[in-house]
This record gives sequence, structure tokens and C-alpha cells, in this order.
Amino acid sequence: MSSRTPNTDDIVRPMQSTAKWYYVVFGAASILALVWFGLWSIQLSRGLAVTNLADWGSAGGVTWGLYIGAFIWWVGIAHGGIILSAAVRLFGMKRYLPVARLAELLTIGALSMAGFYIVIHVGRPDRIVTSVVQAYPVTVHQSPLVWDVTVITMYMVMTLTYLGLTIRYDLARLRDDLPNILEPVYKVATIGYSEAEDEVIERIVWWLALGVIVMAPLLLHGGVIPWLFALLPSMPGWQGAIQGPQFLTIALTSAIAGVIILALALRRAYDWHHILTDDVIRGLTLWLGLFSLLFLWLQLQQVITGVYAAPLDQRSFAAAKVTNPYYQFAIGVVLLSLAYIFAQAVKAHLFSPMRSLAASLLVLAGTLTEKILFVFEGLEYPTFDMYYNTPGHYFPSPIEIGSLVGTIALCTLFFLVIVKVVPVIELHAIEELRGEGHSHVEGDD
Amino acid sequence: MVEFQAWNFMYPGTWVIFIIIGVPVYTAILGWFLGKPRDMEKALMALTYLIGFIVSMWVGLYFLTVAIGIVFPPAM
Amino acid sequence: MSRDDDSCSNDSCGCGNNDNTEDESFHPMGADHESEMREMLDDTEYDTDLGMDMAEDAMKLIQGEISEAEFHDKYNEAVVNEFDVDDRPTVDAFEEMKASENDDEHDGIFERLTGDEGLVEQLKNVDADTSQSRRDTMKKMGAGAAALGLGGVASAQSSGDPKDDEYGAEPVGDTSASGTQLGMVIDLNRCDGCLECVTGCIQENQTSTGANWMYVLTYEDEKSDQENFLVRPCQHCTNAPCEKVCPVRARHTRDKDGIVLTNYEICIGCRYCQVACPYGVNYFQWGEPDVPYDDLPGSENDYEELKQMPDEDRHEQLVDSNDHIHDDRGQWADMRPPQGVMGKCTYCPSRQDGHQGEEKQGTVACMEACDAAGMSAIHFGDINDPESRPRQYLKQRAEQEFERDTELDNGEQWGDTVTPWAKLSAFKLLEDLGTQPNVTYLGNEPGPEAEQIDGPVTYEQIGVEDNRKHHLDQFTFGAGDD
Repeated sequence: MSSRTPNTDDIVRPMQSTAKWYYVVFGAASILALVWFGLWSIQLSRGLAVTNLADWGSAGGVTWGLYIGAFIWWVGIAHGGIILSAAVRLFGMKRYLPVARLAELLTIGALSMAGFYIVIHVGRPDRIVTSVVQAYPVTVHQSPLVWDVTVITMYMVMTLTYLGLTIRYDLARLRDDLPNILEPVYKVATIGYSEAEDEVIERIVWWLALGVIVMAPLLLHGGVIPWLFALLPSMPGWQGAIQGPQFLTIALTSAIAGVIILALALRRAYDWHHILTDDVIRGLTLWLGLFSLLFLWLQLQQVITGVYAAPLDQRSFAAAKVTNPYYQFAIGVVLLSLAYIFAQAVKAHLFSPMRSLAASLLVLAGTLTEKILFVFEGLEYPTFDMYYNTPGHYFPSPIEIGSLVGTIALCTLFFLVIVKVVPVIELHAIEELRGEGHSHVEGDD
Repeated sequence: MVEFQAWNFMYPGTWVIFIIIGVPVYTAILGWFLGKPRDMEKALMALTYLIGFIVSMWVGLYFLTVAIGIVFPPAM
Repeated sequence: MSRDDDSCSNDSCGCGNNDNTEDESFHPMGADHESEMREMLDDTEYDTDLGMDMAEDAMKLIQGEISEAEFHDKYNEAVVNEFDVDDRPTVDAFEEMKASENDDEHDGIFERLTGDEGLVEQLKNVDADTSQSRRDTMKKMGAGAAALGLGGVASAQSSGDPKDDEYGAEPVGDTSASGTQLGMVIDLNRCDGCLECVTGCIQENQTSTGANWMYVLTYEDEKSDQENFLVRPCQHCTNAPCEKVCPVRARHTRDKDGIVLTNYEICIGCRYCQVACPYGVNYFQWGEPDVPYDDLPGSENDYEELKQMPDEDRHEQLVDSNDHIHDDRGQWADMRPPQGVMGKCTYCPSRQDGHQGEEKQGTVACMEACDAAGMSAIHFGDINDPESRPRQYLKQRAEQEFERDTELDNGEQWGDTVTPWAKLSAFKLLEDLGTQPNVTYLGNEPGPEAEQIDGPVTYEQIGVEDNRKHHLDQFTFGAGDD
């Protein structure tokens, strides 16, 4: 644990110098992203036949698979932003102020990847905007997919607005330390800025955080996204009110896991151990534990309801689910992470940032697996299962797996770029840590 | 059997989007304009950010998809 | 096309002289069967020609080409001469017709107001149920929605404007009994699993390998020992979940006849309709279609241009070009979909709209194939019209069942205390899901443990791919044969 005092030099360091590791990571991520674009081009020209997807029913396949599972996963990761910002600005948990902006930026990156997955998933991406927009006045009243598009757009723009507003304070004060080449960008970003606005902006983003903390976890990942599945009459594995809460827990776990990974990576890269302290990581780790417990608890609800005396169609799905080794893996790794988190809560010396990193990676692997399984297993076990080709069959194809690697690489590239453009740690955080804090956060820790 | 034909009353999306999802968003925006300290100029600025981002997001997406259609014309 | 046209390349449509159509008998089972019947009649003491003529007209009656009253009237005199009585069940329709004729001609004003058919009687008989039809409710809702500024819903109502896309705004569909609703009655007891309907549909629509819009399952079920069939077209549900979930209104119900279509010009291939449909009738175009666009009849017509044309001109253009891919709105919604777009059984709108000739109107390719094969298991038509083929068939079968039931021998009369429908094993698929499907099945309903098995004719035998995934696997990049 460092006893250094944080100062503004720390947060502008990424913009002032570039270490060797940066080029290596940038190069690797670019190559992976390019490979993905190549694969995507093959799909764009030959159609979705290049995946392992097929029609369900007489055709023996499933029509939604990894692309949709990964889409849900990325939206889950994207919830870190609002959770941290709400924690800080609404609940007064100033402890997490240093990690709040990182989490917000993760929201932007992850939501972009989620949106990208929709473009990848549809058969006719060339029409997606025109077709959706022309029908919107009617379809908004009836289609869960359109609700999904609406709320994701709102979450994205509210987060962008939040970032756009809060960055003004930082940019105005750190201007001289920022790269000159980006001066036009900073000029636009701080248009009309004066110190008098600080208090007003704080209030504005407080209202914004209030709106988003209700909208995003409860109505996006715990709302319109599970409703895509739960409202349908066709697939018993998807039906039911539990999907809302279940998906919410996935958002919470994936979000915190994502923030932990990001924080650990960046503090190592920029020597921020005295800002993104072990204390912060410890706190996040405990929250990860709580959310993982809730996730497992809701899985338990589904398993017991499905296997005890459920109607036949639900029973087939539940049986398939629990006997699937990939499902067992998903639950297993989350349990493992939970075991560590519980242990270090009891015996503090068991904590280590590396172990928290491992736990976060395992949780992300587990939630991704569980989500992909949910999507395609639901389709393998429809209500109308008379066809001899049901249950259907599916395993992600190379291109689909490539999309995972590709989107992770793209998200990495996004961070590599953004870290050079804006300070990814709030100036308020530095001030707070220095005891100069005058940020208008509610209450005290 | 109680008959409540949900779709006869109002389409689900109408109240899901404009009431349920709407309330947090309306709250935020109204808070900007009606909350204290009140600053109309900054509230409008925030609203401009919001709408600006919606527009630029969708316009950007539109150009991307048009490009996809040109580079990879789909088989009719 | 006209029956005299020899240029048709379809083998068995009945046009022109150069096809090998089935023999020219009126009976679906062919001229041999007809002569057999004739011989049997000759053995009786009664007039053979009268019998054969009545049989021919009975076929027409079933197909809805003549009404019960007309049928009764035509043969009434001859039947009385031959048999001294005419107790045919069509007598009721005949008497009704006679009664209304008499009334209209001779009633004075007082009689018209207060008599049996009078205004007062009619008013008394008006349904006290004040629930308006859903269509009306939706129209009102449209007005209300417009008031809320939700203009989209209101403007999406069919406005009567010929250029209107006629989508109608109700994803829930119109459940009123009025208005055309195309649907089917499928008699599973007549089906023998020959799969002619499957082949007929594939030929008509040029669908890609494995996209079996029409599908027949032979299945075994613990409930019954016999060979069971389930014929599975799209159910064209009135409360179609596929339509509700479509984010771009590509999947819609056509107002004029209630069929559920996919607008190939708008569909973005999200496959949500496929996921929402409980029956599994949707087939996505995963890659390039097997049959090129230019080979489809009507592909030379441009759908943008078609939409600009006035209705009569457009109709003429579509008929002249024997257009199979556009419906009467000029929308590309028929035959196989393009790459990246969803397709399914369409109930052949280009036939319904007359583009393939008047004689094809009211028919679908699968029913045509089934009739040609001699089974006539599929009966397609307007299920809201009591005179339509499916309704007439249902009535006829119900009457047969009633007659056949000898246990009910306590003086009950047809229509009095026992409804014939009760005797008929009729069901709809997955009815408790609330989709309101428009296909009524006669025969055994599959139980929850029913499982498909190979039929008397397998898909392999007719050269149709059953497991589309097997076919698509060859295109999987990095794991296939590419």
C-alpha cells in the first residue's frame, strides 16, 4: 500500500507519455480486431450460413446463439458505469470515486460492443436503421425488440451526457497538461464553461444518475432485455417472471467484475496504486461476492422449480440445463469465486488483487457461458417439440467465437485511445483523496 | 374467468415505454429544469447534449449500415 | 392463366392441351373411380344419370361453387319424380330461400315492421353483447392514440386509400366474425402422408433446401396405435405473436383477407418472429437462395414502380407478367425470400390476388397438390364465410359423424339438442397459447409425448431435405467443407 499522495500529474500521465507495453497491446488488439473484421466480411458476403445457426423445429438447429448471448453479456458489463456513479453521487460512497469514471467509460465501450453485436446478428444490417426508424411510431407500442433498442439508446446517451458534463470540470483545469493536438476537441467539450456552473452541473448529473439508476438495472437489464425472452409463448425455458431478476443479477456481477479488471489493469499500467487502492478493490470484491450470491440464488430458484414437478415442457428444459457440462462449469466458476470472496471476507489476509482479478475473470466467463446457454438451450427445447429434429443442436462456430475475441479487442482499443484523450480518473477523486474534496456528494461513507 | 384483454385496453409498449421507462427519464430532465439551483442555460445545454448524442449515434449507425450495403450487396 | 393457354410449363395445372393432367373426371379420385360408380348405379333400379349428375354437383357444392339452396332446387323435381320424396338435408336452405323471396315481395308496411322478418323482430334479435369488434376498438384506440400524440398508431390504420399499405395497426388481429379470414380445415384422417403438398409448395415457391414451409409429420403417440399425421402449414394466426414482435413491421397481417405475410423489402432478418412463433413455421434465408431472383416470375417488375402505379394498372401489370412474387399492393411478399430475410408459408397471395389467373384464386399450391393426389385433405378458403370450401367441408363431415353415431337413438334431431360438432374430433394446434390459429384439424390431436417418426413416404424418398441444419453445416466457416 502506497503512502504517496495523489496529484494531478498522476491522472494526466497517460496522455503525456507512451510506454512500450502500450504499443504491444495496441498492436495485438489491432491485429485481433482486423482478423475479426475479416471474418465478419465473410459473413456479410456469404450470409449467416457461415455460423452454426439454423432454423429451430423441423430443421434441427437454433436460430439465436452466441451473438445474442454475447450481446446480453456486454450490456451487463455496461451497467458498471451507473452502479458506480450512483453509488458515489446518490449514496455518497466516496470510496469509489476514483473508479467511477473508468466505470462510465466501460459503459460506453461495452454498450458500443452490444450495439455492434446487433448489427452482426441480423440478416440485413444494411437496412437496420431505415427499417427500424420507419416503423418506430407503430412498433414502439408492441415489439419488445424495439423497447430494447429504445432503452439501450437512452442508457447510452444518458451516460454520454453524464460524461460530457462531468468532464468539463476536469478539462477546464487540466487544459495545460493535455496534448495540444486535441485542443479543438477540448474547446468544444468545454464550450461555455465557467466555474460558476460547477454547482449546477453537479446537480444536473445528480438528477441524471437518479434517472439512470432506476432505468438501467431495473428496466434495461432487468427489464426490456429479459422481456425479449420471458414474454414469448413459444419457449418454456425462457418463460416466466424470474428472468427479470435473474438478468439483473447478471448485470450486477458482470459489471463489477469488469470494473475490477479494468481498474487493476490500468493501475498497473500507470502506477495508480495510491489512487485505485487495494481498499477500493477490496470493496468492489465484496460487492462482487454479494451479487454473485444473488445470481446463484436465482439460478437455484430456476433449477428447483424446473426439476421438482414442473409441467413437461419446462421439465425437459430444466433437465437439459442441469446436466449440461457447460452449465455446470458456469455455476462452478461463480461458486469458486464466491468461495474466495467469502474466505477473504472472513480472513482479510487471504485477499490479494491478483486473486480478485482471477475471481472477476471467472465470473465473466461464467456469466457469458450461462447467457449463451440460456439463449440456445431455450430454443432447443420449444413447447412444440414433436419434431424429430427437436431438441436441436448448436455449438458456436469459429466465426461466432471470433466475434468474442474481436469485440474484446475492440473494447481494449477503445480504452487505449480514450486514455490518451481524457483523464480517466475524475479530478474530484484526486481532490477528495488529498483532502481538498469539495465535491457535492451526498452524505458520508 | 376474468377477461382482461390487455391489448384491447392499450398496447403494452405504450405504457411500458412512455410511462414505466419514461418516468425515470422525465424525472431526470424535469429535475434539470425545476430542481435547485436552477439554471435554464445549463439545463438546456444538458438537453442539447442528450438530443445531440441520440442524433449523432443514429446518423453514424445509418452511414455504417449504408456502407455495409454498398460493400456487401445482399443476394436478392 | 386461361385454360386454353398451351404455353404453361406447369405439368399438372389443367391448362391447355399439352399437359398430362389427371383424366377429366369431376371426381377427385379420377375417371376410373367414376366409371366404377356409374356401374354400381346401373345395378340399381334408379336413374344412373340423375345419380351421376347429382354427384358432380355435390362436388361443386362442397367446393362452394353453388349454394345448398341452388343444389336443392336444381334436382328437386327430378328427385321427387324418382323417389316420391326429397328429404335431402339441403331442404332447409331451400325453404329459407323460398320464404324470404315470398316475404319480400308481398309484405305491406305493417307486415314489414312487425312480422316475423320485420324490423321489430330484427331489433329484438340484435346481440345484446355490447362488446364491439376488435377492429372497431382498434379504430377507436387509434383516435385516442392520435389524441395522445401517438400519431403512428392512428396513421397506420387502413385508411381506405388504395396506396395504403393495408397493414392495419392491430398486431392482435381482428377477431370479429366479419371480414374475410383465410384459413384451412385439414382432415388428418384423409391424409396418407404422401407429401405431395410439401412438393407442391416447394415447386410453387422455389424455396431453398430444407426450408419446408409446408411440412407433414408422421408421429407416434401413446394415445393411439394408428399411423398419425400432422400437416403443418403456417397457422396464419389471428393473434400472431410473430407479428407483434417484429421490430420493423415486415411481418404483418393483410387486412383484406387476414393472411400473415413478410415484407421482403423491409425485413432485417433479426429472426425474432421465428423465435416467437410456437409452431416452428419460419425458415430464414441463411445464405444465397438456391433459385436466383431473375428466375422468379415477376422479378422483372420493380416493386417501387409497382407501388406508384394506380391499382388497376398495377393489377393488369401483375396479371400480364404472371407475377408470383408481388401481391396486389405491389409488395414483394411471395415465393422464397432473399438472403438475410425470413420466409414462411404465405397462403399464396399472388394466387389470391388473381395474378396467376382467376381459376387459381381461392386456391393454394398445397391444396391443389393434395386434390390432384386424390386425398383432398386440405380445404382452404374464407373461414368466416359459411359457404366456403373449408366451412362446407366441416359441416359435411360433422353431419357424417352425427349420422354415424348410432348410440344416439332417442329421437334427437339434427340441430335440435345435439350439435353435430360435438361428434367431430376437431382441434387447433397449441390452442391454449392464445395465438388463435386459423387452421382447424379433424382427427387425433397429438398428445404431449407425441414424437415424429418416419412416414410411409420419407422426405429422402421425395428428394426433400428434412434436416436443414445438416445442409447448412457445409457452409459453416472454419468447420465445414468450404
